[in-house]
Amino acid sequence: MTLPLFEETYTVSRLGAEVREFLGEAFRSLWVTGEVQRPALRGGHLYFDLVEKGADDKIVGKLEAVLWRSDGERVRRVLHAAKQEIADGLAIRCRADLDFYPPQGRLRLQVREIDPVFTEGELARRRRETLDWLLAEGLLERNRALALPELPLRLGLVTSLDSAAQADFLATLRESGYGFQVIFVHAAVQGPAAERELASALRALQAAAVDCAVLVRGGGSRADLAAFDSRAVAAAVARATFPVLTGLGHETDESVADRAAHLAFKTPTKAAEFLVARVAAAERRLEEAATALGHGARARLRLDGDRLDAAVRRTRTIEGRVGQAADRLAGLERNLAGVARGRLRHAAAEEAGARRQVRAAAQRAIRAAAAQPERRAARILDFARGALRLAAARLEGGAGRVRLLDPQRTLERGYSLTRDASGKLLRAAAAAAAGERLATQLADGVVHSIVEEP
Amino acid sequence: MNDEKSTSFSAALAELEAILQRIESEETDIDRLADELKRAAELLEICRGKIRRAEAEVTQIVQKLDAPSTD
Repeated sequence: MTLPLFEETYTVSRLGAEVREFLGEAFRSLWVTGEVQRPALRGGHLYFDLVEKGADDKIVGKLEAVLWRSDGERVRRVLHAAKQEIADGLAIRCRADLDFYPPQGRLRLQVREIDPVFTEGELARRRRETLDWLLAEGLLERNRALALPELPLRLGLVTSLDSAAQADFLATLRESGYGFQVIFVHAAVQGPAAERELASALRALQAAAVDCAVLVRGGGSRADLAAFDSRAVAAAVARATFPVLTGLGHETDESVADRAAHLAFKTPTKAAEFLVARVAAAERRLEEAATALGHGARARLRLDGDRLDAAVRRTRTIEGRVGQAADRLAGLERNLAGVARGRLRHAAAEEAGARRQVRAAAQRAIRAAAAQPERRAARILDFARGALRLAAARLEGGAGRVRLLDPQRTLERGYSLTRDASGKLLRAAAAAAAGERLATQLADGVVHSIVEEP
Repeated sequence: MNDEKSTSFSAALAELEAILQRIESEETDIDRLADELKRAAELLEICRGKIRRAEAEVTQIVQKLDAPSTD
């Protein structure tokens, strides 16, 4: 029987020392992959946690790690050549020794080197994953499809407060002298908070009614861009309701945020220069329009003036024609008057001739009449009397009756007219008093008689 | 001016160019020319104002939100 008292018994430090020795031999120069978390520099040594995440980002493995100052310089040089640096969230593959530190009873990895190729690959894989996701969600081209205003003067600026990127960007805007208005929203651009802050900063700008947002950051390692390759930031860029411009300060690579953005620039200054140039172009267009407007209006007035002149000329032509017509009319009038006067003169002459002829004829007739013998004159006289009678008879009642009552005709047929001494026609025998003188007219003469006693 | 706030630059520029076109195409009656020019001058003033109003002015909204992202 062995008494427990005689079994080998360790002190804590001795056990610690043996564990350290054992582990140091068993786990020497191993390659380990994991994600860097909470890196902190103390006394030139870099302390951090190396973790492994499972589903839902749940930590399924964790070890403390240290990069001693003696190794640090060399490791950083290698990383720097690959544009990387140790940062929170960085996936690394490192060669390390497992070490146990007895005074604190802590197990930790002593990192001797870091493989930049692995980190590069991890970043690329992550970027690819995010890109695939954006593509699948139809988000990759969404921000590019938005229209960038002609005059982008109200800007949202997302970057780290008081950073060189912020200063460079704002200095370029100020130099332009244009009336830019910048709504600045701070967000960490690297480190564990970057992903969340960048995404929420972009969302905060939705309420600010900006023309576009600019996401900028100064230079830095490729690994620093991790947040810009994240799904959260890429989605926030893609889903923004305003165009998002990026200026992430990297020369070669393109982050997913750049791919999802409306336009990507190499640096904050280049992004600012683009905006200034756009405003300048809008201003130029405006001034061209203003100049053209002046010219246009003047040309228009000139044109109307010309047209007016032409109208005046035409009017003058018409006036001229009217004048000609008036002249012609006056000429015609003159002609007409001449002709009329000629006619009148002619007519007057004709009339005078006629009058002379008439007078001559009358005189001839008078002379002729005067030359007739007495008898013919008497006959003329008789004829004239007859005509007078005829005219009188006509006045009393028609030519037939005159002919009928013509006493001469009756007398020629054998009748006679008897008148008393006073010349009245004797119409009844009783009217004749004895001894009265009567005159009886026959066709060829008068018989005087005295009435005897009846 | 309220007009300035409500008129976007591109809308103002478009109107300006429309006026220009009307003037050049003789669509504009000479009676209306002065009105059109007056409107054009207003639009120019609005646009120039928008471009030149102020020096770069920074509104700082230092983000305090620590809300977890929804993605």
